[in-house]
Amino acid sequence: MEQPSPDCVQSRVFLSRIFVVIPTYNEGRVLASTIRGLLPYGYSIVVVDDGSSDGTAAVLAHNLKDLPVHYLRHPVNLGQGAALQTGMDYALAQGAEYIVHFDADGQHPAEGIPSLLAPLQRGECDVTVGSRFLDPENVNLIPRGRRILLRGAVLISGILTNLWLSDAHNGFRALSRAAAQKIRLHENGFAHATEFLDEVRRTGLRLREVPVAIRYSDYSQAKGQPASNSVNILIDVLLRKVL
Amino acid sequence: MLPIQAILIALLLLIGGIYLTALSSRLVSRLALLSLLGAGVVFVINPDLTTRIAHGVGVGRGTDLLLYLFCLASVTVFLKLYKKNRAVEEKLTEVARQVALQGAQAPHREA
Repeated sequence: MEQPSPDCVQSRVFLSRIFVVIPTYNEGRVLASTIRGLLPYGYSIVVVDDGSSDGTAAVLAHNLKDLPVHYLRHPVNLGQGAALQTGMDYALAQGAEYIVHFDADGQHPAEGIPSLLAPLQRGECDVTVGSRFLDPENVNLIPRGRRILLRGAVLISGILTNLWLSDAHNGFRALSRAAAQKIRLHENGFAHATEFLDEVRRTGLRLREVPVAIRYSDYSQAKGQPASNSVNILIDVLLRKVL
Repeated sequence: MLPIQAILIALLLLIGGIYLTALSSRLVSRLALLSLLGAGVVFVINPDLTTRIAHGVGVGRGTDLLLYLFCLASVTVFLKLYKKNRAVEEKLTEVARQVALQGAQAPHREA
């Protein structure tokens, strides 16, 4: 994947209509390196600090000081879904043409963003989601336990949303402006991934999966959602459906 | 009157008093609560009444009937609270979002 030189990046960085929204909660250090990985692409970067505790917020603010990012902060912790929605609201207000959802912990590859955007830019669909299961090589990167859990999540998500995808809950997505205006996430926590698909189906947006490789670092493994959390997500989603 | 009856009636009256003065002011909920408390007092004074009603609907004992009703009421309360909690959460989200959007810092332009 071509990487533009840093010089031409500087002039483009504030002008890009492609907004990468990164929700973050209590992860000051790794975020800065995630952002550095994105900078060469010249996207507008929106960091939404989801009410990190005081110490982390200070570290975060310090680390971001010299980076060309838009910085927003929830006064209290609400959840990743809420942070994404705030970031999308902001990006839309700034005139975003495309919005990418990106993880703070560096597991989403920056070089995957152009492939997520391409079908949108060609007008072939309105929403793209990254899938770890479309490319057999990527599948092998996923730890075995995760793989089984994810297959289960795919099944449940399919039953609930009637959208049958190859992957679930990886959170690497891109939306056109029109799609971002239609989708509204009310699910503050991690259940937003299912809600997102629900919204796509409800609003009749065209969705496509794009193969991506997710990096499983020790950090993201340790920090990521524990398997037990999937039960909580399921309960959230079900209660939401019933009430 | 047995001591337990006096205690229960006193507590029922106390709950009624607190509810009517401090909590809801809606006529419907006041009337509902008053009739519920009234029934409570009647059942405390006349415990056999619950058993007779229970037999009428095919339940063995009055206590069992009360237990079933209590379970139903608990679930209803739980669902109501859950819904209310969600509504509060959504309002909080909206407020926090507005605060975040108003305090947003764009990148320094000198770069």
